Amino acid sequence: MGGVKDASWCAMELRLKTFLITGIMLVLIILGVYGIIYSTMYQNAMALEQRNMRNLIQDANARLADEATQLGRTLGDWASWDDTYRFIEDKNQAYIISNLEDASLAAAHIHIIAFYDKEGRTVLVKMVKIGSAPAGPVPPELAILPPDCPLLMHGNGSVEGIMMLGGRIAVVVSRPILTSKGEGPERGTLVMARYISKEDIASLAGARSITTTMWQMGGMVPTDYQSAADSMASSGNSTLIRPISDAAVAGYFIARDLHGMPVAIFRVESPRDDYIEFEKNSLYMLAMLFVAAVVFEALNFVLLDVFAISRLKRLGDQAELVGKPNGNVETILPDGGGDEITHLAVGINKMLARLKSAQHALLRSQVSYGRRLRNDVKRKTRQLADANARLRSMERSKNQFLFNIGHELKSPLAVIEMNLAAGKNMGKGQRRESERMIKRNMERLKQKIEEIIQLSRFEYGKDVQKEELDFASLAKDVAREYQDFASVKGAKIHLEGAGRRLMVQGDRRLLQYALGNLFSNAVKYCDRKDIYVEVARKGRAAEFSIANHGEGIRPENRRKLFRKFFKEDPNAPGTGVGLFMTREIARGHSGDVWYEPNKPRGAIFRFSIPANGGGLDEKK
Amino acid sequence: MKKNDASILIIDDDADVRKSVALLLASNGFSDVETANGALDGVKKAAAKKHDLILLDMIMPRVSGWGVLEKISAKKIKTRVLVLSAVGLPEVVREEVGKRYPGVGFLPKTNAAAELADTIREALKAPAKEI
Repeated sequence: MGGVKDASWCAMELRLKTFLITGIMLVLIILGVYGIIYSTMYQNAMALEQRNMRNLIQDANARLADEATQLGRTLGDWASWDDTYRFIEDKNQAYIISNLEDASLAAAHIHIIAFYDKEGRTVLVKMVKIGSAPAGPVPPELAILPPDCPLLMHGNGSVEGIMMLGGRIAVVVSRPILTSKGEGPERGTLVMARYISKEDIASLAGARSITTTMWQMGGMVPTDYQSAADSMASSGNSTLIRPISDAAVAGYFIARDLHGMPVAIFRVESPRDDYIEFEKNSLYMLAMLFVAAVVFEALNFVLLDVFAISRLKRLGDQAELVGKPNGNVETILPDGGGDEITHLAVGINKMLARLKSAQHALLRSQVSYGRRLRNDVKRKTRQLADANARLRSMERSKNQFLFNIGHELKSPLAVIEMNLAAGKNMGKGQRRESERMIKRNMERLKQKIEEIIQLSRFEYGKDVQKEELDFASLAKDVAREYQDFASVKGAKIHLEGAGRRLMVQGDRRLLQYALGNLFSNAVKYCDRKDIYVEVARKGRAAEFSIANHGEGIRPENRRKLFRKFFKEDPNAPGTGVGLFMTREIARGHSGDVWYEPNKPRGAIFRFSIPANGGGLDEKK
Repeated sequence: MKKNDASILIIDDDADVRKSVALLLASNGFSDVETANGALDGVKKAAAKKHDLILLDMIMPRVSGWGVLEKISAKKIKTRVLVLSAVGLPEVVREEVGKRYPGVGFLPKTNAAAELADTIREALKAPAKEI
């Protein structure tokens, strides 16, 4: 699956790839920037909202305090009035009738006015009748003031605050009753209260868009007020600000009575102008960012296409032309400018140059290879022809050998036959010579037959049967056989070293044949001069050497001497296998035979095979 | 044994053959027998003296029987020639000799013991002439 995806990605056009990559990058950057800006703006908007709300709460508190101050001012007039001073003393009805009139008190927004003597005993509690509704009962909180009532703790000043009066919240102020000159002694305490109505609460708000509501503690309180109260109680804060919807934010604060007990929870509600502005701004910013991204991407696409991709495409098209079957490797691709694409084009050009030179080298090597191949074929053909010629020559030689061996066998046979036929009419002397001739030719016959047998043995694998034997003694025996032949040829054989034992591991019959062959040749071509034979130990070898003073071997024939069927004179008698077999026998004994020219003329043949260890010892 | 005074020259490189043929001829009543050792000696002796018949070996070192025939023919020597050869394939040589020198006879060496004297006598009946 990954592979398929990779393949489709690889197959995509470069400009699309670039478009996708930069697009993804841009989206990520925009989201990141937007996130950072959004969170900063959000925090600012929220902080602003909080600050504004705190100000609103302060305003509401201030207005509440103003109510008390206003009431306190009215109370001050009353408390430092000599009539009031006297009234505490004499409780005169006229004061009540002339001063505590419902309509004027209601106009001053006074709902309760209460008089207490200096011991705190109730003198009078006047419930002001407002409108057509009857005056309510005296709230128990004011009916009798307990000695520790905060209202009595005014000293020479005043006490202002909020209290629950008969289950309703009221602004309450108290002052000591003094003379109009503000002198004592203090006759008692004057208390005024004004109930706080829903309208009063609503008027706490400074602007129309801001609403203030209040709920008394301990009674039925809506859940959001209750949770805000709980939250403030647990955190110890006196205010709490939190949004109640996307459009509005609320600030809660708790009002405490003169005892310090919470009596009411206020909620100032304000539209979330800052937040809504922030939301709008952030959306606008996001839109701007996206517009910028689109413009950037389009510009990027166009510029990339103009400055890179179209050039790359041209380069690719040209390279493709070069790559076609009949494409010209010498085509030089455009490489103007100096950027990476130029670098690429230069690289391709260099590669083309290398390719061209490699092509030429290949051509050259093909030509030279072809020449070498032709030469090889020629040489092999020549070798084959040579081998064929050699084979034909071998065949001819073989035929010649058969022809010659016939002669070699028939000649001594004819001699024997003729001597036997002539025998009837011979004299005594002639007869003896004839008998020697018969014997000699029977030997020749035997030797030729032996030669054929040995040759066939060599043809079918060398069969050397070794035994320990005295090489010197063997040479002596063979020499004796050829003594007679030599004398016919007008020569004598001189043997040296045959008196010492020279032990070798050898095949007696083969060694006899080999040495016999060397004797035969030496005698045949002795030119009526004596033959010198030596048997001696040379280092680790037993060496037999035979030298004559005949014509010797012509230099051009010396290398061919030991070849099978080779005859220096093709017309001469003989089979041409003697020296070949002599060498085979020497090698079959891990030795060798070689030719050396004799001085002043003639031939020396040396036949050498390994001698047994222990050296020479004198024969007994 | 009939006496015969025809002069005969034996040309052969093999001493034993020369001697054996001479012995055989002597035992058959031929009294004028000369031997030559090899071709060169043979041509020299054939030219030096007129022989009624020449017994010629073919396989000889240096100059073969063919060389001798050429020389005798060239020197226009009038005689009779009988090739006495021990070649491996006598019939081939016989045919070749008959083709090149029609007047020259041929006898395998191995038949010599039995037939040589009669063959010579037969040959001597024909007149001597150039070959």
